[in-house]
Amino acid sequence: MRRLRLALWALVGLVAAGMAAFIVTSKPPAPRMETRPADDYASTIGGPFTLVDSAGEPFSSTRLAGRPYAIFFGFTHCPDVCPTTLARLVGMREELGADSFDIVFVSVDPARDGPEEIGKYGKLFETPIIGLTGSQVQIDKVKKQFGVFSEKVGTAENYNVDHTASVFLMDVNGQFVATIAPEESRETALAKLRRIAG
Amino acid sequence: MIHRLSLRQVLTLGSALLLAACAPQKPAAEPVVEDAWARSTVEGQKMAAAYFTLRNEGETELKLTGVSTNRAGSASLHRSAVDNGVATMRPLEGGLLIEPGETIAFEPGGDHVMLEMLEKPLVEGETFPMTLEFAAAAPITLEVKIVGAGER
Ligand SMILES: [Cu+2]
Repeated sequence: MRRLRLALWALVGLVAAGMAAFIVTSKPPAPRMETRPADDYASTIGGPFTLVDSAGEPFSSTRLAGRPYAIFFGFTHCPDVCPTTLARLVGMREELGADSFDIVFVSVDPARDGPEEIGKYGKLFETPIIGLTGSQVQIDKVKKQFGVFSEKVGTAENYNVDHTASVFLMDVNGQFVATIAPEESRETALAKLRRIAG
Repeated sequence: MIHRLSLRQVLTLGSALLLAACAPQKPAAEPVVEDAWARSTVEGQKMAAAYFTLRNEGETELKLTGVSTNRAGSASLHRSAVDNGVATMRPLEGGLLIEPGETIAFEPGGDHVMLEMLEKPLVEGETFPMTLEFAAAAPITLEVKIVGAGER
């Protein structure tokens, strides 16, 4: 009798252990950590660059030192996403104050966007926008620094360019702080801009 | 097995068909377009986008099939999307269905009319005509208002 009871208890123990093991192993994977980039990732975004401004002169990133800025990569022929992103930044800067941050627009389509094109395009928004272009080598380098992707779509003269949709926010020291994605709400975007506008 | 219809069945079927044929037609799809606008462009900029809202006030499905304007070399229904952090843009193949009572927005960063081969820039304050075409409703021509690029 006693033996039987022991055996039964042993069985109960086994089943319990099995269940525990099952629960532990079948636990869903932990959710991925949200948006705040890891420090090592953050520190790899940005860095010194030299491009060409709308006057056709070399433009060194040191010119941006001491000013927070929002930098966006696109192309002047872009009909929807680029003007939408720039108009949004313009609107948010109106809210935060004209001196709150600079807006920098870098062309990923230097074949069509020369200094003149980038200059005229920037003026369209009736508020200062620092439009930059450069040689393909210069553009490729800065794209790499910011982890920006772009790719020509179509071969016709009126080709389109797929490109990274996010805006990068840099603080007064030129350090990367956050990105703004197009799908983020205005409130979220403003909160992030306030972090650099200081 | 051959089944012969009785006279009664034939009559019933016949009157049913007659009724269906004579019944008042279902009210058609009825497109209503509002707030058509586009951003200004600069000299040399060949592409732009136009936006509007479209409501189907009819009682049948409405299908937007195309768009045209003489203001650009080509106009088409287009969609922007963000795919893995990358902004892309593709034609809206096959048009767009709008259910009865539904309103759809052609808006920045989403569906838009893609204007290509612009001959001259879109100037703030001006308007231009654009025609929306539908599968089972008369086309609608509307005036697109050009606003400053940074305005909205
Ligand atoms: Cu488009």
